[in-house]
Amino acid sequence: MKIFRKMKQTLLLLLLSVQSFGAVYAQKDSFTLNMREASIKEVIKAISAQSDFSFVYSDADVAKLEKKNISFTNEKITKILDFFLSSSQLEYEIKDNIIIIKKSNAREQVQQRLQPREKKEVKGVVRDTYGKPVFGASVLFKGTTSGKATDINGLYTVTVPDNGKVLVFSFLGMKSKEVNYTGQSTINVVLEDDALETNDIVVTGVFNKSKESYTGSVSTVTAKEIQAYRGQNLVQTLKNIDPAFNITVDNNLGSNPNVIPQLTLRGSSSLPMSVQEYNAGLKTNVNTPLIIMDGFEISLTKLMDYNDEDIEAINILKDASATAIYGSRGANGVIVVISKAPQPGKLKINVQAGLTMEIPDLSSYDLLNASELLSLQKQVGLYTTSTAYLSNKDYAEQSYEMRLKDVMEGVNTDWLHYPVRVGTGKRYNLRLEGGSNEFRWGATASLTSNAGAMKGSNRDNFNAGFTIAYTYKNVIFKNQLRIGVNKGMESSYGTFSKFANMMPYYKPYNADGTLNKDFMGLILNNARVQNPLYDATLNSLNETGYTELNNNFSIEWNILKELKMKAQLGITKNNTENDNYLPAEHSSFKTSEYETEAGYFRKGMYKYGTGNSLSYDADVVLSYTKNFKGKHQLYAGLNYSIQSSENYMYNFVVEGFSKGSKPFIGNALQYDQVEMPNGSESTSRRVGFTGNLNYTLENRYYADFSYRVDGSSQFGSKSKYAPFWSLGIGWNIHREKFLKGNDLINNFRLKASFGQTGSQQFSPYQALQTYQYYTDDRYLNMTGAYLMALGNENLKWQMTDQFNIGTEIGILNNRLSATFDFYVKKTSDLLSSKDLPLSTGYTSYIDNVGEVKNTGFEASLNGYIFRDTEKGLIWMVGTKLAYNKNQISRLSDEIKKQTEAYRAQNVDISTLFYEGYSQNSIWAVKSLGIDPSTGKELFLDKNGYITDTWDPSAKIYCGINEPLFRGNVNSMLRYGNFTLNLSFGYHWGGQVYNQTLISKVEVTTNALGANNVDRRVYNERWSKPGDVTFYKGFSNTATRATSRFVMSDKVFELQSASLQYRLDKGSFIKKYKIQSLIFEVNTSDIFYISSVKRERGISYPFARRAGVSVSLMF
Amino acid sequence: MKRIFIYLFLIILPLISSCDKWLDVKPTTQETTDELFGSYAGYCNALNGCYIKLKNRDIYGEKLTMSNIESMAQLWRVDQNGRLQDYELKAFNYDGDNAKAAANSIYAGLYNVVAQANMIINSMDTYGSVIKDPVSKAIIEGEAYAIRAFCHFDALRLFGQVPNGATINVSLPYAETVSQISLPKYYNYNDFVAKVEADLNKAESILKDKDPIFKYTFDYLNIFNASQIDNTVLDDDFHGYRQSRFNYWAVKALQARFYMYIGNKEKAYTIAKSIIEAKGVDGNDLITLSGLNDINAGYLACPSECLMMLNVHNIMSYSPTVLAAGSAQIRESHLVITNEQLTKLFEGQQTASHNRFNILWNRTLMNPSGNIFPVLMKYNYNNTTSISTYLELTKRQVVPILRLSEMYLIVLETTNDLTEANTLWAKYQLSHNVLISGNTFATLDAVRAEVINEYRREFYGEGHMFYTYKRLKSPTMLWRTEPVTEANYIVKLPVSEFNPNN
Repeated sequence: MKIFRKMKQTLLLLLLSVQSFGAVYAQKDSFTLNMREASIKEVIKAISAQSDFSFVYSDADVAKLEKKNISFTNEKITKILDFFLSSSQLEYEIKDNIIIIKKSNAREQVQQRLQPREKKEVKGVVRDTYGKPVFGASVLFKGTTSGKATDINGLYTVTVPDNGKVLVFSFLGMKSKEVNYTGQSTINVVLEDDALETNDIVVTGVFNKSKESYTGSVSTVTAKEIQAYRGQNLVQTLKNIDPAFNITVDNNLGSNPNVIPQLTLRGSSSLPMSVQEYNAGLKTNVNTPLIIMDGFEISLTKLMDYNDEDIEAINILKDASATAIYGSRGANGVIVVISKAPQPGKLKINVQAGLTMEIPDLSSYDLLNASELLSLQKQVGLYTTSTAYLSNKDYAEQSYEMRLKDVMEGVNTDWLHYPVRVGTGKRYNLRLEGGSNEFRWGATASLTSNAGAMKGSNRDNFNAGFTIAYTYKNVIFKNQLRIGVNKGMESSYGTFSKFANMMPYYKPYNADGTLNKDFMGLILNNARVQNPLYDATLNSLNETGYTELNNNFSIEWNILKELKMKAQLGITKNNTENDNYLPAEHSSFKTSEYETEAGYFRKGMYKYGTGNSLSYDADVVLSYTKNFKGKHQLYAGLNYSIQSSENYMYNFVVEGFSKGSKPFIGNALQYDQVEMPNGSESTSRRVGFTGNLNYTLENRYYADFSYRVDGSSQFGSKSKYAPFWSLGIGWNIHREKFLKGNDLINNFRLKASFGQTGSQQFSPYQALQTYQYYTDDRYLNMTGAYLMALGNENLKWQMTDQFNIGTEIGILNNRLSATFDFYVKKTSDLLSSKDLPLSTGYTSYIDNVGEVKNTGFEASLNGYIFRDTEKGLIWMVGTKLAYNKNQISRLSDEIKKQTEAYRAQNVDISTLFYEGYSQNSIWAVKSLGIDPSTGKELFLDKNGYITDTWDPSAKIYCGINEPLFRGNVNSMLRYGNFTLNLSFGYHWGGQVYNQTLISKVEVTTNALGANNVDRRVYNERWSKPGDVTFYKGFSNTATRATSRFVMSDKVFELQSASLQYRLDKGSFIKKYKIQSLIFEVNTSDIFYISSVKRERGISYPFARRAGVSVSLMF
Repeated sequence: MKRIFIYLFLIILPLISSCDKWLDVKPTTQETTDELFGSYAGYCNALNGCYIKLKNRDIYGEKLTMSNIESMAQLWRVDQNGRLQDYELKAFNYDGDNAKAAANSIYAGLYNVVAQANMIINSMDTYGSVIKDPVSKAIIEGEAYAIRAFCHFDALRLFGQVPNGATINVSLPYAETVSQISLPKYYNYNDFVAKVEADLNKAESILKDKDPIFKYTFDYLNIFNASQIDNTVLDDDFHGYRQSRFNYWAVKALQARFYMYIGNKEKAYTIAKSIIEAKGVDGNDLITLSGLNDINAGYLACPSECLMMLNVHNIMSYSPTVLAAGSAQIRESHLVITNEQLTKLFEGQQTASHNRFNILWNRTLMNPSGNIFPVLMKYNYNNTTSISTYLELTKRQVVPILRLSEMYLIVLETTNDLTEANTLWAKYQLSHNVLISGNTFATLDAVRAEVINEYRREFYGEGHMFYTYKRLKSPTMLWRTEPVTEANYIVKLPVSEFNPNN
């Protein structure tokens, strides 16, 4: 019964608040009435009929009123009521749309009310959350000019204007506050820091927790930060903000807009499936963090392509206390994306348009020009008969003469500039929202076209969403529909290195402007060299794309004040497609295979792939919060979630296109003769139960316990379920008596946590022993099946133990805040493939093989250097530093054996797995430099002797191919309406293997005849006995992996810089009823200083970015 | 308050139950062991899988018949540039990277087939009851045992010690389980041989009387579903094509070969002779030497006398790249012989009408320099002329595994009766289109010496000669100038193996 009463009360409150809303925005308050001998009752009836006003009065009171003749034309209700009631003992009160008519208690009051409003004043004090008065805050009646600024003590006095209803308090860097004016004489307000907007609540994607008592390590990225530090895509943007967001810079792929980055949080805690695979570059994304958007898992690709204007905040959950609620998926950290929810109110329109430019950065290339290259070739003897290349002296000399003639005539082609461009991209964004408190809606649409620095390389995204929320009593229904369409196109110019390798003495075009299809090889009778520009002129096609449709439906039921339930259902459907077309004229069909009668018809190829995935996610959350006697605060949460996803992918190839044929599968002659159609399929399912308990004592001490049981189809039949848990404790020191009232420290918190989580990046059927049917083979006229691999029923979950200790400090009125977290993360039962003796019939199986440890810390320091509100000058500087050390702490004997075998193999640079070393260590043979007498490199062999033969098994540890420290410095300077944001990034403590030195400097003599080279070849290589050089002499012996090329990797870069101008006053603004107008100039990757001189962007160049945008809000 | 919790619990409860089943996801393009062995058809597919694996080019499709094994017997002229593996194997350079790779793939191939067979054998207790028909069950189980014995036996012949007079002892794994936990055990020569023998006996006893060959002839079982024959059709297709499977008589022949190899001449003699003399259900000889008819018909691998052969439907897609027959020109990558070798091969034979000499060796193909090299035609057929499917499957796309000719040679080598030897030899030669009048051999030793030469002549490209030399521990090989050591007969086990021999 008690519940019922409470529910009734809530309902009433809810209704009242709803109606009050209507009054502010939609109430009609003028009426036209013509009546004779009308009683007040009749008037009330007439007004009620014309409007939403309802009247509260006692019959006895109004019965005494005399009847009057009335004639009002569009008169205000107050005038009408005054006319009736002025001479009576009654007065009225309008509370929203309820009009109360009652006996007047004090004559004065009535008198006062009848007096002109201009004389009325409101005063009060404006304070911040720490109780300090705010100086210079603006206090203004909404929609009027009547306002004042607060004085040094935060005091204000404002005259109430005629139509003064809502008082707006605002201050730079703080959240604005609106207070309804209903005749109060004093209004005191507390303004919250802007940054606190999302800070008091931590959205974990499952439970919403109070920051005050949260023991997890979490960092938040706000929508404003995303806007301020924008990079090529959202993932890059996040890296600009938080260095803990570790993106592996791929020197090979540069700024290709279609590359999905490798991403880790707090180090790598999984091993790739085998040592060999790892080195073959088959890096699976075993360390990618889990990404959750509005409660449901999304892919990294989706995050990268998502419309960043639609994001309210991103929480990065790092330690076990934060991620244990994700159980088997939490070990790599969790990125929680919270999208913007529609705000109620009258229609709000937000429009943005922008332009971005990608400017190729070729500054790391230092290639030889035509005459230098030719003379070098001559000098090393490529044009003399003694080389292995040729037997005919005439040919050699002739080709040299021809080239020399060209060079003398001024041929010096800058090949690098042919495939690149200034890529001009576009961004458009539209957001509409509005509605009442009961029914809210929001719609967004955005179009982003990313044009890469290589010609024809694009990534286009269209995102649209529609959200509706409906509140009925204490239940909120919400539905969110999203669609994302993506298309990525690769440049038809192919890889950039083809151009970097091209000889500058070749002329791409003839004198008449036609394209040179190919060039003479090194010497006359050598094979022809293909002009890389030729293939680019054809109508080839290489694109991938997907369409994703996602619908999330949720019901939130506030059963009691303390008890809430939320149920969600999400369905996501994704279609992917990839198209790769090579026309018949393409150079890849110039082989002898295609020169036969049958082969002629096979020229031209179209590879088509299509895939589909469908996933369902459902979860129910129950949460209970209770405060006992103001001393004990309890939170309990329960979650049940269930997920299923099914994928398939088909690929096939067709061939035989006529010359000039359009890229259309229907134009093909036949299916590919060699390649069969292929496909893949997978289904995975998961269920999880999560419980969370949080207890806070007097807001000072708190403890957090999470427990999750996960069941997954991806693990062995013997262990389908696994438990995960975490325990955290915290202490709000600033709430202790000895710090209360302290002016210096206003926030000081200590917390520690420990927990176990898992990761789930495996192929679903790994644990099963399965048979596969032969599709391409048969016996006699019968089909067959074979056992694919040895399953492993005993496969265990890979478990990550994580310990975290952290502190947060805010001093001087939060002008300076700092955080520090130290962690140790240990992953045991690492999964990897284990070799088997062949007598079992198989080469390997998947097993739990070892243990990896990551130790590190994350620190941040933020402070206001200026916070001069009077002049409107704010300068905030923040720095973040992350350190991580990865170490393999234990490996099984089998993996050790595999590693030894791989070490002895005749391979160059390789990553080897050894206990005590990082997963990313570089192993190379120790170099003693170049012998000045011979120009050959000297090595230290296995036994410590000097030798000039390179022995793979003499490889030693040379460093870690990953920086130990990474950090950034962000600065935000605001002056008046201008805001300047800068983000610098740096890293050090790691090593890098300088591949440029091998492929472009210490090249073999023969390679000089095939590729252009770095300038250092020209003057820094050994040439005669006595030369002391870094680079060895010219020979045809290739340089092998040596410690000489392992260099310390230190980088400092300006990641992003943006300038914003915000306009919210002025005649223009008023004329078009604009709320605000923002102009923005945004640049990223502006400069890059590195301790390693190497070519950056091998197959795709790096690019600098610049963009301008305009945002309008109505 | 309480009531709400009860309601909530009731809502959640159905979600919780039956999770276990829901989490049991099975892939659609694959089947789990239980699913596959849950039906007779699954068993048939698993057994066919063994044969598909057997015909892989890594083992009997090429390496253990046409190429590697014959290079080790010094039979081929190997060009270093074209055939690295054969080159190193021919030189017995078992430590060479290429020889290692070849040995590795052969070893892996054999034991992978064993694993497939073991899956069938080991599932019989649990799932075998789904096969209702006793004949089908005997076929599946018996053939699986035969395949397991066959592969292990060849692992022994290749990687094991010499069977007679061994000074180097080698233990080998005999795999009877499919598991990453209980790894196959290693057995010394005697125990390993006992294991092979036991499996062969088991296969024999299972197939005895049940094998369809006790009810129909080999020919009938090859043509059973071809409409031209009486319109009679077998109840179950799976009972057909016995010649292309390890049938009862194939197991017997394998036993003869096995006893011959381990030096049990009496048993070898008895079994081989029983096969030669065996009668089929129609009262005629079970199987006869087919050289005369087959070779004239263009079935150069003598399929009709096979007690066991592999159907390799794609043989013409690769045999021309290995043995040159069927390609336009001889290249470095082809395995051929010289004219001198061919002459030496048929030394002392009446070559005028000898169909192997005249038809099996093509002497018209040239290399780019215009030199002619004899080319083995055994695995070549004119695939532009089409014939009925059953002939295509059982006569043309064939790699012989066990032929009646081998049984003749076993009897010839082991008999103590000179008359029997001479009679049998005459019969044998007739199938080569050579008419013998009178006695060829004066002594049994002369018979035995010629039999070794005949192994080389008859089974060129079928992988017999290396094992023949090995069982005799022959210190020489024809066309090898250096002596052959005992170690040369023992291919080293892949490095991935736990090797108790070191």
